[in-house]
Amino acid sequence: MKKIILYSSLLLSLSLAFTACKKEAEVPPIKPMGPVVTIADLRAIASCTNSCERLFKTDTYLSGVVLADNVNGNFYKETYLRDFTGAIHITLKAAVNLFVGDSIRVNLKGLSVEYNATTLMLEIDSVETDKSFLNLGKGVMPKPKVLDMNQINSPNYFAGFINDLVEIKGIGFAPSDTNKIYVEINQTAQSRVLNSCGGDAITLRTNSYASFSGQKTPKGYGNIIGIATNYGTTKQLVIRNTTEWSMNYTTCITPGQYLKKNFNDNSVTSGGWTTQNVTANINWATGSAGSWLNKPYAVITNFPSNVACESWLISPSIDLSAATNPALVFQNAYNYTGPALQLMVSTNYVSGLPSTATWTPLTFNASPGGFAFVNSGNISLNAYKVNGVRIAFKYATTGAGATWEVDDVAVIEN
Amino acid sequence: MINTTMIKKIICLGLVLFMSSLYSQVSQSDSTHITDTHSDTSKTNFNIPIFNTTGADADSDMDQQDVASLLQSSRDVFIQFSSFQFSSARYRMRGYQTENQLILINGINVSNLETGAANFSSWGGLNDVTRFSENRFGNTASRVGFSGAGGFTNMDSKASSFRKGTRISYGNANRAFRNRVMVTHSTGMMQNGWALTLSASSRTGDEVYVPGTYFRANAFYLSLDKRINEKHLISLTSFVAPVEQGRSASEQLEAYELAGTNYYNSLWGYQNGEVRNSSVRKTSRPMAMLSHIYTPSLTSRLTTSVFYNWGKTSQSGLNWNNSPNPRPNYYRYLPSYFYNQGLTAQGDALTSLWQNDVNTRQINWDRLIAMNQANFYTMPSQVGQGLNSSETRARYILEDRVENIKSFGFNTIYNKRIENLFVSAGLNGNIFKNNQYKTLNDLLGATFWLDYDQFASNLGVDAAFQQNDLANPDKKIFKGDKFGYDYNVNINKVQSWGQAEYSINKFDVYVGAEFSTTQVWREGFVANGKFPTDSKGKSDVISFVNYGVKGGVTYKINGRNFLTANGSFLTRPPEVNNMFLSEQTRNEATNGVTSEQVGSYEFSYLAKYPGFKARATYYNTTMNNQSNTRVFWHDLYNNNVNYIVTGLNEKHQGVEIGIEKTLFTSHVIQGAFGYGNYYYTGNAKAQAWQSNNNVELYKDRTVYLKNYRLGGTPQMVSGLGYKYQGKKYWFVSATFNYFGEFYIEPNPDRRTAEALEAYVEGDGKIQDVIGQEKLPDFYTVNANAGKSFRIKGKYFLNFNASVNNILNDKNIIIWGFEQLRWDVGDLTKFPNKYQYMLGTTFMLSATFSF
Repeated sequence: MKKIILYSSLLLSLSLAFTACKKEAEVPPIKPMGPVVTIADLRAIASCTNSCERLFKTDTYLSGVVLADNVNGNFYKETYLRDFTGAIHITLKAAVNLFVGDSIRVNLKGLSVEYNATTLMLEIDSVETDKSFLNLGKGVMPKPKVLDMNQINSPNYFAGFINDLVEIKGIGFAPSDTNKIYVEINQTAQSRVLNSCGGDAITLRTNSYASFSGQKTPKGYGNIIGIATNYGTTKQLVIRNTTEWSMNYTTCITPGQYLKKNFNDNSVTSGGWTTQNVTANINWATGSAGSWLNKPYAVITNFPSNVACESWLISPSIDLSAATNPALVFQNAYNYTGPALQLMVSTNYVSGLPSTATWTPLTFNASPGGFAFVNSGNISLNAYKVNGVRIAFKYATTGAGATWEVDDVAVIEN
Repeated sequence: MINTTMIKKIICLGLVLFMSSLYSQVSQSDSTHITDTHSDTSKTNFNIPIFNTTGADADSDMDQQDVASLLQSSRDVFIQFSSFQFSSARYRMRGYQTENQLILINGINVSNLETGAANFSSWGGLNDVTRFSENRFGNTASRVGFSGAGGFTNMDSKASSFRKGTRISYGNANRAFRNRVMVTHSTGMMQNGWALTLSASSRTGDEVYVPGTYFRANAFYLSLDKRINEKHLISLTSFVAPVEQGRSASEQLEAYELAGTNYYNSLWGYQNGEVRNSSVRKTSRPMAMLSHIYTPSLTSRLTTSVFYNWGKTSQSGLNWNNSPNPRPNYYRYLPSYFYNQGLTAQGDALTSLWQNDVNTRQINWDRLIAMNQANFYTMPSQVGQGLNSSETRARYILEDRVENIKSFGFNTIYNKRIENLFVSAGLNGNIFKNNQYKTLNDLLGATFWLDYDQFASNLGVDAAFQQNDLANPDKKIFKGDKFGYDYNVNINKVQSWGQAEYSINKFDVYVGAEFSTTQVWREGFVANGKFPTDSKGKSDVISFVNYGVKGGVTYKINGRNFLTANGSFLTRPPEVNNMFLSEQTRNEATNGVTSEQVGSYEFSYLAKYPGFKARATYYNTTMNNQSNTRVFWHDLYNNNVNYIVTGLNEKHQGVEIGIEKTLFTSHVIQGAFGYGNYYYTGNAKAQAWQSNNNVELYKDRTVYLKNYRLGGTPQMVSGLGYKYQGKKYWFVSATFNYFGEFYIEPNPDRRTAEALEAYVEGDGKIQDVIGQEKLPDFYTVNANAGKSFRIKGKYFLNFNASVNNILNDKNIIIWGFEQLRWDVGDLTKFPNKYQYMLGTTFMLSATFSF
């Protein structure tokens, strides 16, 4: 009987030992991490001119955040990826579940990076995502970069935004493109013009597969978020959806920006600005000489007549009653000897001669001369948080005066 | 006699049991328990049969002189627990699939030659006439056929085997069915040499537990025996069990959560206010067997039989063309699809619809019909003739996938005892045909369905390409018409086997061997547009030559203690659907599909004392060179693929312990413990073919499956039971069962280097792709009670009650699988699907016999 116990317990313990030992499941071979590139590196490779190699022949990795997805159909078989050095356009062989905010690692092996000959956008073409993409999961939602429409046509300015997610503050559809279907029924894609408030225009490009392509473009003004793209020399914006589109204003103003005037329309008086020539007939005009980037600008001089004069450039009425910390900022430059340009503010001016109202002078950071533009600094308007505020530039001289240039006048939340 | 060492042994074994079963369950499950077989992995969820015997029945008339019968199910505690307690958790003994067990009725192999597995529903409900079965699990001697690792079950179902009497029973349950009525009458062997047994049963229930399901089954049985003289008996046995079942599906967790119940079932919906299930399985496969039993002497017997088994099984399902997926649980219809894209508003809206609108949650039959009725269609042949059509082409249909078998065979068994030698031998042959096709079940309001392959039509190369039947292009299909595919699988098999058992002193030994040849071919009846030359006509014949050997020894330490060692090795053809690249459409054979090899050995220790019995077994089984063919939508190729895995090698090893102790004559304590390790021992190879144009996508791709655990069954089970046997024919019992080591079967396509192409060393997400999910451990408590009355000495009235899952735990997952469709870029898109154990269920039955 003892033997039996021995046998049975031996069998039991042996077999339990056999059985209980668990082995680790086999893992398929996984390669080590290869070299890493940034979008800036890709830009350099794509713009290299000496018959450089643009095809990646070995495992090379790029990481980035997805900026646009196929959810609303406006980006079909394509996406935009951003890293800390820039953004890139990637076209895909098949539509896939990539979502805004996904952190992606791209294996560039077998892919090449180019500037697309037609669009001039930095691009990786025909990617098979299942092979090349690894979705690492959702990260921080990408924030748009603010695109200043006053500078959009400045050399090299827009290039820094192409392929990236941008926000334009203060924009609305051009009257001829307002309340129009985004994409007409017989079009595969359509362009609509967006006029910025005070700045330049941009083209809104929409694909007919976009879920909102049959809707009408909204009236009003507000902010818009989208991907900045290029088609040759045409600067375009492609929106991801219409919920990032806030048309809350009936007048063309940029939220948080109470006044904006950049003279880029070559008009001194557009946007409600007025001039008053109190003495003599020396006029405020627009000019575009010099190297200032955001030409044209407003300019005044009594040269060559050198007559005594007093000429005012007066802003439209600004409502600062709801502002918290409003400030005025502008660019200024001058040359030649003469009295300084005066900056004035009033809360009771309506129209006509400036003397019909009370004006208070304000100080600003003035140009050192030689037509060098400088920023005025943020001039607080905290004392004027009421409706009906106007600012004015007063050019007054009794003899030969200086030439003063003013540009990019803005009243903003400081 | 019980002495101190015995007690020590009890304590020792009991301790193991107790520790392993701190939690657990026990119940007397209904012997006709229906196991749902739904998943998209066709054969993985067939359970090892739930034995039809009950403890009370089977002890009776089996001869006890042969040691081999030690492992008889009825008397083995572990097998009792497996059958009645563990089976509700989908426990399969030793992790074996059904094809590892030889299933016989009157000595005739009733396994389907195509799958190797027997379909127990073919005689479902005929409990009264299939209860006298001999079950031996594991490697064992068998006098009725050659059995391998899984052992055998032979149901003796001849009229002359039943005692004279009538038995009427009624059962009421809340499981698969609500009501069951069974009536059986046997004449016994009458003076004139005739014996007749008739049996019939009916089991019905609508939405008994799971919404949308139903169960309607009848069964009829007739057996007529004629004893011609002392030496000759002619026996005819025939039965048919038509079953119609509206099924339920496994779902992903999100669907259960949205529906607010773990018994959510996506397969049904309302049509005109009536519940309609889209997945209805109907089976009606009559069997007739005629045997001649010749007993020339007291020591020899020759049984010769012919049999015929025929009939249809059909499985209905929705099909659609150029229209949105009609299934409510399609991944794009779930809120998560939108939440994952950050579309909270759409996700919330859909969540609300799922929760409040039954037509979102379930199939919207009315909408499918409306969409069909709106689809006016001008046939290609009418285009350009200015004809228009007021006929509508179906966008949605309900189709039946039909398998119509004809299986004819003969079977001879010879048994002879020569003193201590017992010799058995047999020869059998089987001609099997399975005609597979689709028929149109319901046009859902449309005029016709076009017999196109929609996946081929979008290839757009050639108009003929999409035709399922080139001889009848643009064929309109109406209700009842055959369409889609139509072919036969033909299998011819001849097997011979033999066995010798010998007893000397303290040893019983046996050896056995088997040899068989199998021919398999496909014959297509329609030329398919995609494979015009390869779809119609006969394929090459694929031949298999197989053999098996086995042997065992029992060492009788004394009259009460035994040590046994048993082993077997056999080869067998793979399942037929693995032999062809795409059985439905073409004759081309799969490369590299060859016979499977199953090798198995086991050691046991058994003790049999009055009032105490115990068994401890270690088993080790390898199943090598297996293959598996599946069709699924492959996101990477944007197409259906035929995905074939070959060279699958498995090991099943573990221990089983069962003990039973009777205290003070009326208290019985039972314990069962099984700890297994079922896993893949090596890597396999995968090949994939685009199903609509025969393009080889790849082959010889390594599937890194080594050491993954096999899914579908808990690998650790333990149970503790207590039974009180009253003096006046009554009993009450309760069991506590604990389950663990329950894994989900890995999707092979995810365990490849190609699937991890985008990953590099150290990436945390690699485990998301290749890690294996282990289901939570769980436990159940079951109870039984019974009472018998004897009235006027000749009438017996018997009441039985069983309650399962008394704790009403509705959060026990008993089935899960990884969807084959998966998205490399987003694993959450096609998550695992699960199925929950039913909450508290009961079965009450009353039996009147006389």
